Amino acid sequence: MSLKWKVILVLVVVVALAAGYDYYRKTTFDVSVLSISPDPAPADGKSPVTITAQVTRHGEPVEGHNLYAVSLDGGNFEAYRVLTDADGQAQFTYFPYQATAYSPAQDVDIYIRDESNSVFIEIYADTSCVVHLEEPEEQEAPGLTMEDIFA
Amino acid sequence: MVRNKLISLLVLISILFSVSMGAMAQEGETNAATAEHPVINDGNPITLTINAAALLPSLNDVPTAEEPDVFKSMQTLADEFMKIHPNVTIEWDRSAPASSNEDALWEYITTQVASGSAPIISGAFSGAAHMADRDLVFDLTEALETPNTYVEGSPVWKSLFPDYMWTTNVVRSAKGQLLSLPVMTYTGPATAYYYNKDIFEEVGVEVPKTWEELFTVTQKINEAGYIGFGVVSNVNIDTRTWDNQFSLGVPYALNIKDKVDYNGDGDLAAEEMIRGIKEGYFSPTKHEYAREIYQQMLRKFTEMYPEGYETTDFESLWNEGKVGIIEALTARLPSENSNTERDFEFGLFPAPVITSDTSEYVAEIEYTEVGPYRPAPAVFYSILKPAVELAGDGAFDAAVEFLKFITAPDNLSMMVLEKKGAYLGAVKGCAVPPELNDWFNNSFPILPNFQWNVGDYLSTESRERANALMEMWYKGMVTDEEFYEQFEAEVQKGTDEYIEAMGIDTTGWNIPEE
Repeated sequence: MSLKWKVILVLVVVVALAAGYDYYRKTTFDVSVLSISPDPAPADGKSPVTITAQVTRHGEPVEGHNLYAVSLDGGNFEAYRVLTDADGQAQFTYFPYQATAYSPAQDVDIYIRDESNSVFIEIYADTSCVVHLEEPEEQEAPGLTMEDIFA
Repeated sequence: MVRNKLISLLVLISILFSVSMGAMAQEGETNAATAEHPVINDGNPITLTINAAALLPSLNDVPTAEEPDVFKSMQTLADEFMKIHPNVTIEWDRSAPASSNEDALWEYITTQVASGSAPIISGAFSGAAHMADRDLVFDLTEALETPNTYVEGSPVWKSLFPDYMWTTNVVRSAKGQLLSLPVMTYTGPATAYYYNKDIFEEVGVEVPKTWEELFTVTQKINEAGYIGFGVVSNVNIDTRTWDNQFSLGVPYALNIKDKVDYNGDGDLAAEEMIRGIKEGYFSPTKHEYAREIYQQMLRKFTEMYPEGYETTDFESLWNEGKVGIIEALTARLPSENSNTERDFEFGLFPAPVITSDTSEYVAEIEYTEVGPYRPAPAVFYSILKPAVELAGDGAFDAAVEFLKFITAPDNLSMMVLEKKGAYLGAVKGCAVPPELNDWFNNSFPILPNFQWNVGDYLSTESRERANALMEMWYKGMVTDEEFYEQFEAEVQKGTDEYIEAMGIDTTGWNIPEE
């Protein structure tokens, strides 16, 4: 076998070992959603939903891991990256979209992954959850309105 | 056999009857939709090409970890608009330069016009009012007086917006034309100072409330061994520096209000600014106050910007907790909230305004109790004349109808909320992004439409030369006196060119002899 092919083979083995190790590491971490509040939540574009997630390893909480959350069906996170605390927990604040005739209130899939469990290659432990949304009730908006700002 | 044939015939007749009833029902629905909204281009097909700039729909409509920022509400609205007007096709111009480079944008549009593919609607960074001398965009005054049928009750379109929008110089030209349609505003002042709460507590300083306090606080943080002020933006040296716009310009301009507010309405309109320039009230060769405003702009640069700022990575230093204050757009807030490389608490405060603590030549500014005061338009669109000429008059109507549609409060709210607090909506009744709740707890300076924006009404070439002169002065390549003299000469020359290009009548102006 020529030197070139030997080098390629070594590289492939190294990458495979690294991927294998990170895949194994991923299976030792568990990302779970502990709570979603309120549930259901009004799709009014302003009422926050608190999603508490936790990272554990072998059942023990893991501190200092970067959790990343994204909504696959609209709405925004106040911060889409949050570090886990000493209890392995991270709280995300999710603002649902505002239900309109074009986008009525419906369940929203949330995807959360641990960006810190890998060493070599990005193989993330992850989870997902569903935030149930309902049509908002008509009520006066707390805080400033555009009319206040324009005055 | 005959009976079977009769049954088959009856079934066929029933099917045909059902299908025709369904078709008539659909036609009825379409007719009802048409009756509610104007018909565009007599119902003939028309393509509406749009350079949506900051509101361009993202190509990915499903967020991923690699690309979490998806913007699809504009596409959703475009799809709904096309359902209402099936003869209209909306296409996005994805090759236009960033609207922050306005000269490149207008050059692009000129090129696209020549090739027959210019966008009919285009966003522009500094507003078409500054480009009025190019005569490339339509005056929207008449269209704004027509009903917006996409809002319940079909109110007059203009009435959806607060009145002050129509006096801003990004919308209104020196001849009173309304050349841009505001769609979104900044979230108060366009910029904010982000500060490290931990450093402030350790050093024992409070959030600065005045221009002078900003220097004092920065110095104390420097003396404590930190970097008082990190430069992550506001690096352009020009007449539209953020310090002029948000801290200095209005107090200095308001102080000469009795001289330049010629119609006494409390606004410094474009034509009043131009007249004030020609009559010498903004001249640093004639007035100490006019020299002083430029000296204060220079002061920020020389006293607050650390040595070697051009090559220093202040973003990393900020994340490491070594910087007390940075200055950035308020649109940075969503990404800063997600910045897990930063392990300290941060806060925001509005740009402090200069007071009599620093200068005898400034008017005192009042503050709101909470919340911003009349934020300026940030996202605005114009309808391009050359593109409509190419596409036909139906293109103007299509553009107007689409702009009406996206500025219906519920529709605009969709886009504002998806922008995560980067902007506010420009119409009444629009939703306020919840991400801004903390920012709105600040007191904001009440800055009327009375800016010291001498650079805005120069010809493009003069503005570039004036900005270059400022940069030379900042870097010590010309003396103060040389700068004042050459800068004023350029401002006068550029203003003359603008007056000529716009056909502004200067009869009755008290222009001093040179």
